[in-house]
Amino acid sequence: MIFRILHWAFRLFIAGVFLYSGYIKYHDPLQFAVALNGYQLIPEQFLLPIAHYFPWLEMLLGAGVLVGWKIRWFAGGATALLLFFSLLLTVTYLRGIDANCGCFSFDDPISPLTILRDGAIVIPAIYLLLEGGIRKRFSRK
Amino acid sequence: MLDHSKRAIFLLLFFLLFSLAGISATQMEPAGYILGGSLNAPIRIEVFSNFECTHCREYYLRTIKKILKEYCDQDKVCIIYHDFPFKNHLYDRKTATYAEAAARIGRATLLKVFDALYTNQATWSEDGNIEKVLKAALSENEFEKLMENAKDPAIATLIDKQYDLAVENKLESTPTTFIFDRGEQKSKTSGTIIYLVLKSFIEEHLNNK
Repeated sequence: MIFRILHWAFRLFIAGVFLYSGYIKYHDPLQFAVALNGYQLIPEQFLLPIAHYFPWLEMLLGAGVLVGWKIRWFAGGATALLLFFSLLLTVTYLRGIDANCGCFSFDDPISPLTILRDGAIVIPAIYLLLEGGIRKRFSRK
Repeated sequence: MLDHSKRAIFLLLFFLLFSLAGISATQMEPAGYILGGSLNAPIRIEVFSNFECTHCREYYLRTIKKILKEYCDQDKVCIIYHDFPFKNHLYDRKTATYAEAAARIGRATLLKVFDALYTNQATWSEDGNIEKVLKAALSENEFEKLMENAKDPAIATLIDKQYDLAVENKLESTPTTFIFDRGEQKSKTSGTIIYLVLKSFIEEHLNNK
């Protein structure tokens, strides 16, 4: 029962996070391109194309987790993306760059709190990825 | 299997509704001053800024000037600037007054005033001698006219009107750029948009007739 509750809570959470995050970027690609430029990593000519297509990837991952078909694949993608974001935020913060996270809104300067928040979101994604193994392990005990 | 299809259809409808809700058709009042192009241009860019903000300086000198040259002369893009003076900036209202006064003389004078104020921002924002910078940039006749126009109390009302427009649109920072494609709002962007990104965005919309 507890696994079922955890499964649905994490699944809805991750799906919601990715659908929402993708949607706000899809809705204003130019603002997202400005946020991406703030990281001082991406060549200028790639900013707008990334701003156009990346939100679709996020929404696809969110929809995949929500629908539940091949959920491990989608949860794996979500985990990889979240780990990448956490690393990117940490590196940008350590470089002393005053950038906007652009994660869930465009008025969200990178701080230890944003790094911690994005890092915490990885936990439910990892759970969904490794769920089968975790269940087996606990049911043996 | 059927269950999955139903879910997929539900999701599709959900996104469709969301996307439609996101399309806004807000239109700014044509207050402010036109820097380039005409109101008949297919793309309209409206910028809320002030002369003391360093990001606005960078935006005007590195992005807007290039767009003016490349698109406004052919009337593909119309650029409108709105004053959004900040209360904590000492010279925002004074510089905005000069810009409004210059707009009454003509676009060429207005552009000279923009160039002079942004290029020499570090100087006048330090010593407050805005007139010295403008005198060096304008002809004697233009400078005299500018000073005469700047005395008009109606200018203060115009600046207030634009400030109210910014507040009405819930703006908190400068520069903020609104982009309209054939009257329909396509973007509201806070911060400096680099030239290549803005150019690509304009091209996308010009090609998407």
